[in-house]
Amino acid sequence: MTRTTIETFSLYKRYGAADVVADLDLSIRPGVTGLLGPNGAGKTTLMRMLATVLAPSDGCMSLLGLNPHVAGERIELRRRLGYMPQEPGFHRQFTAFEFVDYVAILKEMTDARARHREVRRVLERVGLEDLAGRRLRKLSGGMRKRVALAQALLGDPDLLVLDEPSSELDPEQRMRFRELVSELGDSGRTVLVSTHQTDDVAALCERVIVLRDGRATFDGTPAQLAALAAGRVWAAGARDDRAQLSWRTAAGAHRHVGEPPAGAQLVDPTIEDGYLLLAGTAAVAGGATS
Amino acid sequence: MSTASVTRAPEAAAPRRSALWSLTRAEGRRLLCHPVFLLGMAISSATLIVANANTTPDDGVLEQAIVDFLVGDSFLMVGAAMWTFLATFLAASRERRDAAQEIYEGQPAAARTRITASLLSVGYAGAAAAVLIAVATLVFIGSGGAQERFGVPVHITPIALAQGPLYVMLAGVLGVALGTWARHLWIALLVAVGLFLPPIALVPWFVFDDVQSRGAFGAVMAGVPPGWHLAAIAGLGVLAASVAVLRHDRRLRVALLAGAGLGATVAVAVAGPVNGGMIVSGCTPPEMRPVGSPSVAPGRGAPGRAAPGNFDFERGNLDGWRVRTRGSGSWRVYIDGRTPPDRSDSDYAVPFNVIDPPQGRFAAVTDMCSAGSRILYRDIELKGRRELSFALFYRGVAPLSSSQTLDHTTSFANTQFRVDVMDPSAPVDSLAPGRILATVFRTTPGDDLVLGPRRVTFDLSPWAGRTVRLRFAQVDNGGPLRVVIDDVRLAPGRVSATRAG
Repeated sequence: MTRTTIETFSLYKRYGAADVVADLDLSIRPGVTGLLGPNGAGKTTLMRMLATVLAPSDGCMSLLGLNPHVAGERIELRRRLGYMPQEPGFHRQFTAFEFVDYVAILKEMTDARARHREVRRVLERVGLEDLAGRRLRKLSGGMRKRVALAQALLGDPDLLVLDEPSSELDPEQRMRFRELVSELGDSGRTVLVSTHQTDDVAALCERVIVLRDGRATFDGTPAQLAALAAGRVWAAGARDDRAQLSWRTAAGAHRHVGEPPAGAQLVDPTIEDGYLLLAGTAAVAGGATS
Repeated sequence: MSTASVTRAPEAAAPRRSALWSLTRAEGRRLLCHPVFLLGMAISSATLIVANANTTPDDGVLEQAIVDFLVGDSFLMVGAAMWTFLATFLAASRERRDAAQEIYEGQPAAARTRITASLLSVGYAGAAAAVLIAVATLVFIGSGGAQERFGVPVHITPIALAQGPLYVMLAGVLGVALGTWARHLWIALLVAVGLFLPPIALVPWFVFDDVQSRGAFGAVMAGVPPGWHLAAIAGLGVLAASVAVLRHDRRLRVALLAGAGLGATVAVAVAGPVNGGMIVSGCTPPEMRPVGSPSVAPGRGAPGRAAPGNFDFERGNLDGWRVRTRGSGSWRVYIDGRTPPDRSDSDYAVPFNVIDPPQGRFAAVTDMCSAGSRILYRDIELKGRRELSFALFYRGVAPLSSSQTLDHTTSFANTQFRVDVMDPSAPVDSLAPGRILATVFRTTPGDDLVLGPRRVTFDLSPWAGRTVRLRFAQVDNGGPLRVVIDDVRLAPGRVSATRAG
């Protein structure tokens, strides 16, 4: 049986009176796990706690078998953890190489020659080897995202926490990102990806967790998430007001999610359909599929 | 992104225990290459070049002063210090200014390590400053120990040389401390103006002005014992470093360290003046100077009561003599030609270096830490024919003159020594021809800066039966002129009485 690498028990994070993460129990094994949820669902807060950047208000965690609440174990955990924040800050005067090298030093890679080899390796993994000497202020948003991903890959961590890693990537880079992450998952590492991109989840993740108001409302495989909408998705030539959600597809037909009318032309549900049904109209209004 | 298969990172890149030194090296190298830091070093280099170009053989009188000012008093490094302050501020505030903490805080190296590395990296700036100081020293006093420039001896001590680099490092530490708590550049600029603008404003005044700068400026800036400077710099450095570390580590030992730094600083600031040295304001003012030990206290004999004798100062004091001083320094009694009789009132940049007492254990000497006028005198009743003689030695650093004033605050150079036989009723500092009965000795322009030791004799027979005043007067406002007097004799026969005037 595969070991559990992330475990949380009744985890809470409170800001004032608001529970941003509430009573969260998770048990995640190696592989790629997706985290979905509308804005404000607590995804980033959870990711920051799992990256040991933020301390929980209550509850406990075990990451890679280590307790991040204990200082010594937290440092050991950080040595084996790669974290890519949702909105990483960069020193604009640094080159891509200098920035990743600086993070490598913080990762306690003290042998300069070996460290520089490692920096070149991770920059190559994200396709930035030719831009290593370019200052960060001259890189596009997508390129900076890749720099952030590169620093998370330093030291070949056992646990990767990636918060919206593909949000600014172009289609080609997104495909390459998927390939990289899936390879990491296949090699026995634990990769947790927080995203709004349901197609990324479908393409990458063996497991998906949906958060809403700080609580896990779904925990299963992508197929199980899609199956939530089985028999509740239909297509029609015109908008059907009885549908819970309805939108016009590129082909010109209307896709409906909800309780189908008799005789409706049912279609195969997707993860997005399942997620939308789970999240409801509020999720759509909140831009969950943006 | 690469499509290569996932491979484990090289074993050699495995994390090690401490990132502190690697981080220090990285931060240090970035500091040395930082445009702001380079600008500061360029300003200091320019100061050196301009100062060097503005001292010529004709105004060689400025030499010692400019060496003191630029090297000994660290002012060469003001530009470098100010910009080092800004560069380290930018480095320390960088992660919060650029919102990069999110990445950093997930790394094994703690925030305290990052700050400590920033603090240690100022050593790189200190090393660069030391190189500049070394170049300045070579420029001003030459290589091979030839401590002379345009024929004028100049002096600089190793401990004085250490001040410049330490000053730059202190500025760097202050920048880190501010950068850990504030992230807006305008705050740093305001602090920089407050910390560094006053000394910068003084630089051109001193570099381009004539020797009067030494007289006026020297009175407030020069002559502080270097130990006080170093202690103050170290104390402030420890305090600032603790303030920086406290940002992320509020443990007791850091607080204690901060307290120690604060204590040292306060101790220097408060105890310095009391014990004979002010941190940056030059010599201890006369009114704050403690009464010296009996062996060096000026004589205070009441008129008509002073016992005859002590012409050779072998009582270890100035009993029988009277002293009048203006400005810094005084006449004192000394034992060792290398040990100033009062360290708190001796120019450390021009170390005390005279001959040992020519006769016996004691002799009288002028010592000072900046410009002043010092007169040693006594009234002598000549009951018969007498011949005056005394041992004389002096060593100066500025060209000698024979100005017709004993005022050290003149706008022109006035460094002289003279011995006069005077009318006892005349003001003690009078140079009026009718009041001076005879001039036994006086320096003149072009005289060697070092004289003696030699014995001077003078016939006092014309004033037999009269009371005359014997006056030894020394003035300097271009650097120390240390005069030694010993073994004053009135031969043949014994002087019947001595009366203070």
